[in-house]
Amino acid sequence: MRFKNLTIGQHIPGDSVIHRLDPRTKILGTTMLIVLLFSVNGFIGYGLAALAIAAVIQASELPWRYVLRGLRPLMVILILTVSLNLFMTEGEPLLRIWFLTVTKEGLLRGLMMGARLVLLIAGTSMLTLTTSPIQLTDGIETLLNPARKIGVPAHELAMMMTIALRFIPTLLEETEKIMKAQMARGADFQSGNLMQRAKNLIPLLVPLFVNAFRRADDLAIAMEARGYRGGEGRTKFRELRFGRIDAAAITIVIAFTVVVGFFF
Amino acid sequence: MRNKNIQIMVETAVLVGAALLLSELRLFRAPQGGSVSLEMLPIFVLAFRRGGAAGVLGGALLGLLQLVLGGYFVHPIQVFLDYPAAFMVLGCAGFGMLKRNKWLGVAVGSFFRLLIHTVSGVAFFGAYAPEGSSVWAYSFSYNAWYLVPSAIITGIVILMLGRPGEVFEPR
Repeated sequence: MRFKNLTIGQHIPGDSVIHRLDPRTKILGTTMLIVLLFSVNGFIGYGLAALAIAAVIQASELPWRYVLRGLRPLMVILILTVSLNLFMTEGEPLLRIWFLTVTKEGLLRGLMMGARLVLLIAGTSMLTLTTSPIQLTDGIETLLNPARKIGVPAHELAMMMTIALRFIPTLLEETEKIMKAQMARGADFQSGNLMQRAKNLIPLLVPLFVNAFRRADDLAIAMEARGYRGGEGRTKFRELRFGRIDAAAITIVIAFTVVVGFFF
Repeated sequence: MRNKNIQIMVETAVLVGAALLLSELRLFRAPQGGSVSLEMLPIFVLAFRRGGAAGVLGGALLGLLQLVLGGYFVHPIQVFLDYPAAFMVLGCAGFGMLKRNKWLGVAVGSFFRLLIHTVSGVAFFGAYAPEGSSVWAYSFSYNAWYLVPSAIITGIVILMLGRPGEVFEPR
């Protein structure tokens, strides 16, 4: 187990137009993109969607390789999807390699499915690349607010997500400290087979859990002492602000989705 | 009089944080997403300690946070199954007899997760692959490939964690 350079999440801070948009705008925009990518049915539609995503990447001032890197883990699935479509769709044969036949329909379908996958992943990753997890959590909370009427505890969910995120660095530090302490006593976390390794983790995990519960208890007492009563009437240090730039962005996105989704 | 709800809420949140941390400490990474890690451990601990409902809630939060931190979206059904649903079912380990037989709880929870990932894989191929490709076996074996070792390690650790008693019994 290595801790060096451990980064959790893929958010890259920045000050571009895209970074400054309200998280709610970005969540809605991403939803529209998903709807669009599942409703277009032709290369013009995918081409236009690709141009739109490229424009967003350019506006976000992020290096392109960050976005492209996100595609790497799905390379196998991508190749599999394209080749399955390529060889297994029936239709007009174009090319015969040994026992495999490439059909015209298969080629078109394969390229289209591949394009949809790549665009979906690139497009949705723009949301998590340009928005911090805390902002996203805030955005989700306000977007879930209408669902409170049917009993969805929007505030509590967001609060728990925030606490979880807040505790990752704390727990990481604690894990490192415990590991060093146990290694000084002769614990070995590196060698042995699977069973051995799992067993070796016990002196790490027991103090980690016990400490985590203690910290959780402290935080719960502190929250109660400050009169925490859930979401009702609670104010925020950083309010989300839906500005003119957000209104403009939403208008453009909706107009684009309707036009492209309808005509292509 | 302590407010039990706040206590459980904060404890759930902190354990979900621990799960996120453990999910990054991969013991082994599979090529198409999914990896062998102890990420399920805190959710099982939560389920055994505070009951199935807390476990299910914690699992849902873990899934949502993984999505927020950069999950993969290829199909609406796939996202719902792979993120909140797959981790929610781990919480089942906190219900009834599964809570008393911890190894059974881990096995059943992990098996449900495997099923959900399998269905998600089938849903994905249903949308992207031509009709007639046989995908159930592929999806099942691919997911089993990293989930079964994860579940075994988690199970061993759970059994050994039980001995000090402090972990599963709230004070």
